[in-house]
Amino acid sequence: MAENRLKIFDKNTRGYRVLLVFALLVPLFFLLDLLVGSYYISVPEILKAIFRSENANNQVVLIINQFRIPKAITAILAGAALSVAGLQMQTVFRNPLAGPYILGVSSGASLGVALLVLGTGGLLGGSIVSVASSWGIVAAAWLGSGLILLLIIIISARIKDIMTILILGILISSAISSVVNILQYFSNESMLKSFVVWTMGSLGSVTNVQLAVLFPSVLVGILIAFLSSKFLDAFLLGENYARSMGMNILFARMMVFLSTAILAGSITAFCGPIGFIGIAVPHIARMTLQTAKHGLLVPGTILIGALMMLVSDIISQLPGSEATLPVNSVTALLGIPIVIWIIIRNKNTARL
Amino acid sequence: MGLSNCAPGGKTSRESAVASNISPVSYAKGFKIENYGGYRKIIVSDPWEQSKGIGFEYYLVDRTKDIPKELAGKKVIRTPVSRVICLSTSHIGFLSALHEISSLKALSGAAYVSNPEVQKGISSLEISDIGYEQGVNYELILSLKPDLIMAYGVGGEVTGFLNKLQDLGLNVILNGEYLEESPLAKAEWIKFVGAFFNKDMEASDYFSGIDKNYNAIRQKVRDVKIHPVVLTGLPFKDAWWMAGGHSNLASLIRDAGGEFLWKDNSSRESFVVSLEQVVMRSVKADFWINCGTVNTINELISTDSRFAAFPQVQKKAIFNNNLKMSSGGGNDYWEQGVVRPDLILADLVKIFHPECDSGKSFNFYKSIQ
Repeated sequence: MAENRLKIFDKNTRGYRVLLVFALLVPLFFLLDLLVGSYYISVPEILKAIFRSENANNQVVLIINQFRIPKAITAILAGAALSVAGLQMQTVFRNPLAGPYILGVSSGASLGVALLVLGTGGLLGGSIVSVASSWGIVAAAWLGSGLILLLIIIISARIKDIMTILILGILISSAISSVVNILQYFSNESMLKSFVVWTMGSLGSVTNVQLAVLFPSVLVGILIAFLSSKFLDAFLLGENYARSMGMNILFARMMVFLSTAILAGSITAFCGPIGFIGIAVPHIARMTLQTAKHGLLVPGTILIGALMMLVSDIISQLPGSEATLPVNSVTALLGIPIVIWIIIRNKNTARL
Repeated sequence: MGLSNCAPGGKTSRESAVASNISPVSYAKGFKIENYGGYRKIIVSDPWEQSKGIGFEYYLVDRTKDIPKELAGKKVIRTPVSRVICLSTSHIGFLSALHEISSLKALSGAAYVSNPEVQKGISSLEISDIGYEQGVNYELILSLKPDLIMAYGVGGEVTGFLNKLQDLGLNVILNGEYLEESPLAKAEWIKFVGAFFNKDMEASDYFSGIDKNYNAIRQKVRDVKIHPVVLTGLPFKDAWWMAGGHSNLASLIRDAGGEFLWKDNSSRESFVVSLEQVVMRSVKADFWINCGTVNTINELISTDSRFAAFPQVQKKAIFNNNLKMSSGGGNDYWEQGVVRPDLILADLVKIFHPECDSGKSFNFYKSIQ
């Protein structure tokens, strides 16, 4: 702990240098993500489409403007949002396995979507709506995660012990998952397939219009995270220490929960639950930046998260093949080896 | 009928005494019926996806006759059956065509039924809902005392379900209709279903009629010069499950004088393609059909606003197969359509080749406006 305390107040020039490298890599991979897709389009044609050249192919313009650009922006937003949310949860709960969904935000969202897509299924007969519109799914997921957020805030205002909140969060998640399971159990195959596809996560279904909503939401969440950096540093030293420094623990906790729920909830609403990024990236950030200071860790996780999500998206496009992989599997397959490597190199995760 | 090389092992003299009054199976690959006078033998082969070399044999013996000695230890089913449980709503199409709805005692997924007679039976509690797959209510099944349970297998795990029902002393058979590549082969399974009701002749006559109608419609568009290109399906998020190039739907499009956008694909099962692929390919598609459950162009665009840029949307060349939906979300296309591929084909010809249209109204399709 003493070592940690020293690190927090350490001037970290290495950290800033690493940040700069990531800040340069993100735009590079953003461009690469535009160039590589499941349909092969030659680089000159893509450049023509991007720069609105007159002799650009209409279909290519459509692919670039309506599909690849929004998908790449969504990848950046999703990676940044989930990683920051994960970092906040790991810090507040002082648990290396915590992630953006630990509070039950994604299970709340999946309950909303399950109610919409699977409907009351075999229970009452048929789905609530004949066609699950994309906005309908977003609204349902948001409503679901919003309700969970409300519940968590009510609980955290009454209960002082952070571990109790963690346990309650896990219990609520499990209860909601069971309800979702019941809905799945009673639905027919095609509804089930739609729902399962949702749970696998997707970056490519976010349209430009939807980005106009997703983008400011993520921005607000990240802004709160930046503002809470000092709180997070204090949480790292323990709540008692933070209290002794004159910090309003309840207020700080609520800010962090609010930011996490906005970030994880918005991404889940538009992209479905995307796993592992939120757990892996904060570890990678601590590892590469060699710091525990959230003033550095927050921008670090944003950049590394965005980068990892862009790489996952490029892989999930399986360039050259007609099919794509669900991005959720790619993030896990990519993230797990990195975390294993970190754990083995560090021997333990006590540095958190 | 090529009986000589069918039944494995030594044949008794009675088994080779063929007195066939059953018309041979001409399209379907999944089943065979052999008539041995005293009993009929039905062989169902490879009844689930990816199954190879798996076969089931059912021996059908008339209720009024004694079970021949040589069938000792074999799976014998006494016919005609009169208390039937169907695990797929597509089986209802066969029962309806054979006028055997009155034999239906229970099914899976009552909410999705389209047939009005079955709906009536469900609301009057004469037909029960036994639930789905692992959620099947075995006690209810037993209490209904069925003499036949018609199941289907999505994969090999169905054998566990079959064994369980067999352990309970129930007759359970696998219907592999959904695996057939061509719509006529699917419809021909009526002969399989009919055999259990001793309605072999009726089934055969019914199928001959459908076969004749179907081929007559196909004949009308045989010499068309233009084959409109057809896009099918609807994605969920960015995964588009496209019908296989050798699927039933692909056959229907071809027979209706159209060209399936993914006709170069060689699978029977549907496969996933990316939205990007569809956007690039669909430029040359003249029509877009079978787009999920959408009823209007606005609903279609609400699932993904980028569909507004699709040429089929701009030309309003979209037709969906959901004209006859039940209140619970069941689609008659998957029920009656199984035994009436001629009606589906007529619809598609009306869409692709209005010049060859006989002027009849749509059976399963509607224009999406």
